[in-house]
Amino acid sequence: MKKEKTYQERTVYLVGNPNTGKTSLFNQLTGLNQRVGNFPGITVEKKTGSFISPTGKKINIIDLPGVYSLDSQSADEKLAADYIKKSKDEIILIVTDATNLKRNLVLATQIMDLKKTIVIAVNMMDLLQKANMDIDFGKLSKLLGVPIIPVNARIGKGIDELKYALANHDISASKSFLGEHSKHPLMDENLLRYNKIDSIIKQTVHKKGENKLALQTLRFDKWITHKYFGFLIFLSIMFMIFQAIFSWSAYPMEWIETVFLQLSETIQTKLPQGTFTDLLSNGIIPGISGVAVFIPQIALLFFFITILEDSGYLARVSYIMDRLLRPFGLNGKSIIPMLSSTACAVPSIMGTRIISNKKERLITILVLPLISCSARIPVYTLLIAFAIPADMSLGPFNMQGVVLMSLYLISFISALLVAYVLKFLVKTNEKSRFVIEIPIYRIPRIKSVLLTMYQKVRIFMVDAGKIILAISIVLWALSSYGPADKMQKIEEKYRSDAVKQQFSEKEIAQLIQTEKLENSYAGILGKTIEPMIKPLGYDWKIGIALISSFAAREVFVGTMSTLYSIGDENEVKLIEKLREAKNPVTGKPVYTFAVAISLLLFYVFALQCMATLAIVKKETGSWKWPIVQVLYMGALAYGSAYLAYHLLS
Amino acid sequence: MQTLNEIPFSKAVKIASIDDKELAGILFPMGCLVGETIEKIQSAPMGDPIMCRVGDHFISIRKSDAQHILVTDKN
Repeated sequence: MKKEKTYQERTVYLVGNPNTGKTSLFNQLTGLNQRVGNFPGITVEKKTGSFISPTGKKINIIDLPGVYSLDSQSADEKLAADYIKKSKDEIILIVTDATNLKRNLVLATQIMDLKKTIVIAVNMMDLLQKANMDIDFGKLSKLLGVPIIPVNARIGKGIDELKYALANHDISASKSFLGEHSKHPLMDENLLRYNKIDSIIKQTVHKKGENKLALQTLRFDKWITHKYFGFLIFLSIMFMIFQAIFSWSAYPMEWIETVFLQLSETIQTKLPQGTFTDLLSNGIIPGISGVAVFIPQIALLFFFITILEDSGYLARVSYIMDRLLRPFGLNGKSIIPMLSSTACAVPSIMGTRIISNKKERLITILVLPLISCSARIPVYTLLIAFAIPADMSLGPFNMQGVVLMSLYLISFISALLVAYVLKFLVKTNEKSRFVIEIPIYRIPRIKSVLLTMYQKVRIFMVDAGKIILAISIVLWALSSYGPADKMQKIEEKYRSDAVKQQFSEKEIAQLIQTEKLENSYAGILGKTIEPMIKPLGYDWKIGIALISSFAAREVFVGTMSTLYSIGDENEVKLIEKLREAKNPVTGKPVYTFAVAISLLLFYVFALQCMATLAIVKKETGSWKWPIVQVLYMGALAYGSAYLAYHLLS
Repeated sequence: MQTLNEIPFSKAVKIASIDDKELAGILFPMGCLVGETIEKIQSAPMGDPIMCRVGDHFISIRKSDAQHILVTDKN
């Protein structure tokens, strides 16, 4: 049985240096037939996919993290090295950059010395001409003793040949590259390896002239990473991205909102009245729509970050920011997780694994959740649209966009300041280093950008969607039911003749609903914490939203939608409901400008995300650091919201 | 022998050795092989780190690490 399986199925480990187009090759080999998960026990993203060969064999491909060498120290690289060392029946597919073979062969020959089954794909064949180089593949394959397949993963050239090799290459150990000499101390082995690689390169790679790729990169970097203009260009790019996110997403957001409102209405009119209909139209649909509305913005954010990464610009941002971040106890490499934290803190916290210095990595992890993530976008959008008129502008810029940009700036500046404080509290005697490859500039492929964007949005929506669905059901139940005796008393109160004379039937129904919500379990919960949040200008309904968004911030909008649709027959947009909301005692509006700003600041600072807490615990190995985070961010949130409310009202 | 820090920008030299073992372990697999051409291209906006061309590729390192890279003239 087992033998049959090994005949029909094969596993391939995809390995290679960073910047060799490993991801594009993975996409080409597997198409959309891939899954993203985690490696068991740790949180490094694990991509697996498969294809079926013409002879019916199923080839599974596991994408391992990019590594420069097998002796690397960082956690990501150790994982890849472990997988390679333990492999037996698996094929190691090593991806290399055609224009950079000499360096890429360091890793490849290290793996050869482990005597594994190896296939080498030489990628980026399209760049060879620009680099003015020729490679004698036949000779290279002969000298190394492993199959070598030239490919161009960007357009899919050579993929069929590669698939054929993966399906048909015999599982057998490659010959050792260094042979007898491999038991030398580290430096000697390196020298030996270098000399051997150098002689192979000299026999197989022919330079025909000046490398135009290098020249082109030099020309671009004269300006893009310029001493003075470098920062300016970086800030302008960021500013344009945020403007685009806000303005391009406006229309699709309206469409989604309208569709969900109509759905809710249709369900209410077409389905028989009852608990289930109520749960659907007042619980689940408003909850889901509250988040679905923000798909356009989240997608755009991932879209731009992927473009920046694929073009080669992100590495340059690390380079220009290193000196600036160093006094704050951070590293130039911290800027990449910080920027991707504008999408989501969870993958960014995993991404800090590229920082090898433990202190710098810990500080980066501790301040990352301060950076405004896409889960805050729903909250920001709602409150900004509420507080700032849409037609207001600052010079040529839309004021709403400027406010959004300022919130992101506040979050970055506070992250730096907190990092500065932490620098004195976290101790280490490890040396701080910054060594990074600066890849050549490349025009991102729209297909692969869209694929990455689709995958990230899907993960985000599935993960967030599960939490939101659960919470909106719980919330609906909590706000629809309460202690039985109290609920009964309310019914009786309004059934008296005195009340019936005073109000119309409809008004009574409305009053009953309102009072029922106030006395429901959710109402009781909200009222319990009301004294604590009153100094910030919040009422008990906001209190419920705050409690529910401790699981995840974006739940805030869903909760508000659910709370305000309970006992309301007319389906109007949430923002209009907020404008109409009045304090039952004073009769004044609940949501003033001061309250909106106070809430905005609360959401800028507070750590309301279970997923972040879980990942920080996993990455730092103890509950100490997530608790520290919750406390310091909570204090910042409460303090700033308190100040804003009192200064503005 | 000079360290990379002592070499002016835009002058191509050869890597002779790296006298910090840990650093050598990082730089070697990134293409900083002994005998490879290295050239300082520019420095970041605040003077540090520096961008170097190694062969036909580019890396960035801090000056504090560049002082451990010993270089010789190209020929």
